Amino acid sequence: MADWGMKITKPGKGVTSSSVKDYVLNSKYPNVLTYLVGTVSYTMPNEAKSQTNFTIAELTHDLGYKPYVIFYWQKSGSEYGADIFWEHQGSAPNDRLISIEADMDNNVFRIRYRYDGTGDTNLAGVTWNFKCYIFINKASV
Amino acid sequence: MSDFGVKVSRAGYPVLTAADNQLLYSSAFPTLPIFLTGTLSAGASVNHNLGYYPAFGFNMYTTHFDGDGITTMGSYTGGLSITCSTTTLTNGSSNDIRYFIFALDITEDYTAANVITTPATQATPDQDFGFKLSSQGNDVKTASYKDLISFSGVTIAGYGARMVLVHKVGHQDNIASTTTTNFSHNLGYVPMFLFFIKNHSASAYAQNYMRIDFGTNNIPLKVTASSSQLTLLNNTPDSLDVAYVIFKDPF
Repeated sequence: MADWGMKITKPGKGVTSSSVKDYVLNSKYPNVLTYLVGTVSYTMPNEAKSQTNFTIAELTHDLGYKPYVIFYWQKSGSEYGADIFWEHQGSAPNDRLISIEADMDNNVFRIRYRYDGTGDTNLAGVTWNFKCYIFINKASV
Repeated sequence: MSDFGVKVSRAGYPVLTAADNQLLYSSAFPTLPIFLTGTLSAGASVNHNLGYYPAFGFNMYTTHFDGDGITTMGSYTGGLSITCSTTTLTNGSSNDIRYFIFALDITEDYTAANVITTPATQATPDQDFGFKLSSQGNDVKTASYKDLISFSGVTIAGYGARMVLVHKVGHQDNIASTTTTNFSHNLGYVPMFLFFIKNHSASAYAQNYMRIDFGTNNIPLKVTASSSQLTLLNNTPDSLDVAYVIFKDPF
């Protein structure tokens, strides 16, 4: 038993199974383990179009490395989605591209707003809710 | 204890009454064991040889914004370049990635029971942890977070660590173009989820949530969630096979 310390199988599966997917816990294989889950709300200012690239949410993890992260968004109390948001508004020549993107360093995860184009944006006053899952698992490249 | 063999609650939650999503883990629910992880350079691939389509994840660092941009899942067109077959994960993008291949078959449908749905009240834990398991070769007394398999203690800002617990795995093949398809769950709240897509004729899935046609500025594909279902809008010209993993963790 030199390979492992603890293993627990799914209901109905034998603990001597050789299939990794039969286990809920096997100390030979790390699990995705949440380190920090953050819920952040942000309401776009009425002058959102004048701010073309700025941070709207920030989570400090202080792990000292870039951890595995996934995040979800909710737009104005209705639509829920995953990862990056993107929207095209209006018609040329006054159309614009709106995106919600993210970046990560060894201490902080940021959600950023970016606006490209001309004309007014109808994202002013829109409230965003973000749910960010930061895991202990290292994701540096 | 007819429903489970082992369960551990998160810090501060009573184990007998903690809701499913307040558990560190339970042998009643599958988790996301990491079968293989590492970095893949642009254009590289890695063999997992699991013999089935596994759930997978990745973080891709790009040149968004000030150079620290990250794609955490599979949105934009870049996400389509990370594909996984029954044997191989391929990074077809122009960026390096950190990948995670999980020992979970996304074409093997599964639905967990809702064992306890009423949230318990969290008390202030009087110890740092109840359960701690380190990875091979690491001393459990001194292991850092990244070297832990499981941990029921408190991490940053008093957050009780937890393992991701699977509520439902499902798949559907040959979803026609210009359709909207719903995939129900019975959680009663918006959950954390992963979504995988491939063309019906393809042999590898990509993780994808929003596809953008930068030529027309249209969004031909979009995945959204609600408290009762995931919804796929397929306005691509292709028939698609999809698979999804829904977790106990709430939005």
